Amino acid sequence: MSDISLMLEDSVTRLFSDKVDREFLQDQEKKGWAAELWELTEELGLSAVLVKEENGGVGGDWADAYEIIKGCGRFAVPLPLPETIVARWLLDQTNLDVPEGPLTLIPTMEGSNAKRIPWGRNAVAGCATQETGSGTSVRLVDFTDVVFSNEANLAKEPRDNCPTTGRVTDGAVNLPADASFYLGAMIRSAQLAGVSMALLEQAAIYSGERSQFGRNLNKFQTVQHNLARLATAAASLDSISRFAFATMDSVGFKYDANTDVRFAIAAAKSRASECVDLICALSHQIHGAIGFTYEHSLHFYSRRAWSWRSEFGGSSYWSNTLGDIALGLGSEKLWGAITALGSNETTTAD
Amino acid sequence: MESIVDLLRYDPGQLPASAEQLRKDVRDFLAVEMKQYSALKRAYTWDGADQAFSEKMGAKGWLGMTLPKEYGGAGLSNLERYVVAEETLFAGAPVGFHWIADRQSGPLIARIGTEKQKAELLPRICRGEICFCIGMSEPNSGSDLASLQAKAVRTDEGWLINGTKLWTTNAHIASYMIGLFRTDMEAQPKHAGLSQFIIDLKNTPGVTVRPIEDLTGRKHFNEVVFEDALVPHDALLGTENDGWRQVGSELAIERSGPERFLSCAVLFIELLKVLEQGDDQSAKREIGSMLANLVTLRSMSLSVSAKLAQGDDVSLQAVIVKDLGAEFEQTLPGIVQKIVAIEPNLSDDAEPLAQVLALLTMLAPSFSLRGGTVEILRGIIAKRLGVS
Repeated sequence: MSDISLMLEDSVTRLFSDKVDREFLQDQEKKGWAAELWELTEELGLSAVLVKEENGGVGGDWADAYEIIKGCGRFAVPLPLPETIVARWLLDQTNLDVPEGPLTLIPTMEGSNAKRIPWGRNAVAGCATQETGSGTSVRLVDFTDVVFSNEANLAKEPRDNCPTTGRVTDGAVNLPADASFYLGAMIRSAQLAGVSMALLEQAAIYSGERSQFGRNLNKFQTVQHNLARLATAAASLDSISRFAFATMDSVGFKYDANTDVRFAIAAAKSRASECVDLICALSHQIHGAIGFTYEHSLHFYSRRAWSWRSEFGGSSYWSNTLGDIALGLGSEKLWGAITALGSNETTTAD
Repeated sequence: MESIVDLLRYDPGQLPASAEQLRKDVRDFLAVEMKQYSALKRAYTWDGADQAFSEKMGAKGWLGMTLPKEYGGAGLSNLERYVVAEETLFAGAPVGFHWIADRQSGPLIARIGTEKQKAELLPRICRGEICFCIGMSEPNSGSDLASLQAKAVRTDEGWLINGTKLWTTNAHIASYMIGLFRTDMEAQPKHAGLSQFIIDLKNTPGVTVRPIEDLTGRKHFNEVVFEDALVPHDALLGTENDGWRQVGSELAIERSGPERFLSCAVLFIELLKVLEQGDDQSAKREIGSMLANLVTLRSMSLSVSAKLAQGDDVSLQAVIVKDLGAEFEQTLPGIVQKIVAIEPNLSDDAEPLAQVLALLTMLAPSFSLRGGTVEILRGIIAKRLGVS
């Protein structure tokens, strides 16, 4: 791990564990936008982690970004910080000006319709990569005069529809047209890794405090084994998500979905989305009835997990994508593509 | 105390650039060697043993790769070994003869063995000449390993060994056993009085190896009975009464390798071959989901391997790989049944997929038993996380 990663993880953990607790989250769900918290993240320069130093950013890599984004999941941070990190990276690859303030990623754009935009009402602009005839562009949509029809996910995070697009500018970019959708899936898998850790941590703490039949819950072998399964699933998400971010650093998008970062991202989001059931079920089971109340903090994590699993493609979408990759490569070449992941060479399946 | 989040970290393992040429060489070698192997034969992977094959691997310099050059090794890191291990497993090569020696006996001897033990054994391991087995379980000590009874008593002539080892894989073809025996009968706690010995199985009177047929009808594990078997004083490996800790140090590598999720690779590939013919959309999702699992497990296994190469303690991460890997492999036969209408069939003229499915359906129960039962593993995970 790089020094920047360690430093970022440390400051992210300190900031969020200090500010984002149960009271804060309850309060935020009623009031909406957490302006003060956003400002604090901006003071640390978190959203500019991937922006080049000469452009005023931190100049970090995706492994560094992972620590921040995972932290956003682990602490249920109610901000479009992961989206802004990716949007600023995308814009940094173009000659477009980067608007000040929170940004977001537009999952899908059909004509002038954009749906379920994360934090749409709070963002100053949104962007997505699109095919524009002469190649791929980052399409930046100014939200200043846009009237959103407000929706939300299960965790009450804004997921807004935008019937008429705002002012649009395009900047050519050297990426595949579906890059922003893949990156959206990648940040959600990192957030899921983080939130899984929170669901595990809470279960671990609770089982050490709650006593029944004269002993703490964690003295029961069944509970220990459930905690172990929970830990195992959470660890696997952290591993594959981290791996996808590392692959973004080492390989990036190479116009060959079978051997580039898209393979790793599809695996990460597929795995993450599939594990949500087990992870939430076990954590809730260990908490018993108290975890099912609004008063307890557990639901801030489980409701996010249940939503994030489907955003930017759920397990059906991504396992289908991976199935396509597998059958496309065929039994002869699949192994070559698997082993190309994690190798230092940037080429090849065959 | 370290937080749970830190304890469960899997930093991405990156293979060295040199590994790519190595991978290519191994693939070329296997393409020739494995030509005559049927799918069913490949499905045995590390349960299949062939000394001639192991000697060829040795001649290529692919055994004992992490051992020091002076003893015939290549002085490389665990990551290079990882590449050779995953390529041979994926190909379903008969690696059983050298597997245990290459994976753990060799490295253990290199780390704690005497000069004489190293000089005598390591070069032969590197040449693929000798097979090792590990004597741990006993009739009354399965998961409760610390309760083992077989004992070694120091006499003027050497160590006198009595007792029985059970489920010892490959004892019937092995030249040596590294066995764990009680050397201090009074020690408390129970695991304190154990020591490891290197036992010459072929030349020690009083040792009887009796193969045990498994439910597939094959004989690969054994009962090994010791009746006043006398081994020399210098058969002791490492420190007297420090056996428990020494064994623990072998386990991280034993539990996290690619064999934890590639034992069923042949089944996956045969399934893919069948599906390539049709256009089953629902099958596609199952394949994708399996692939996500496999790539996830590989990322974890590779991470542990890279950490081992740096000498870090990754025993918890390793246990998790084994637990998850066993679960993955045990679900595969059922998933195949969900996708394809097929009957497991071991007949010579059956479809390869039906044959492989038959074998792995029957082998599956062993995946969560050997190398530590899933119950033991989950207990370890809970304990290490401080949640028990």
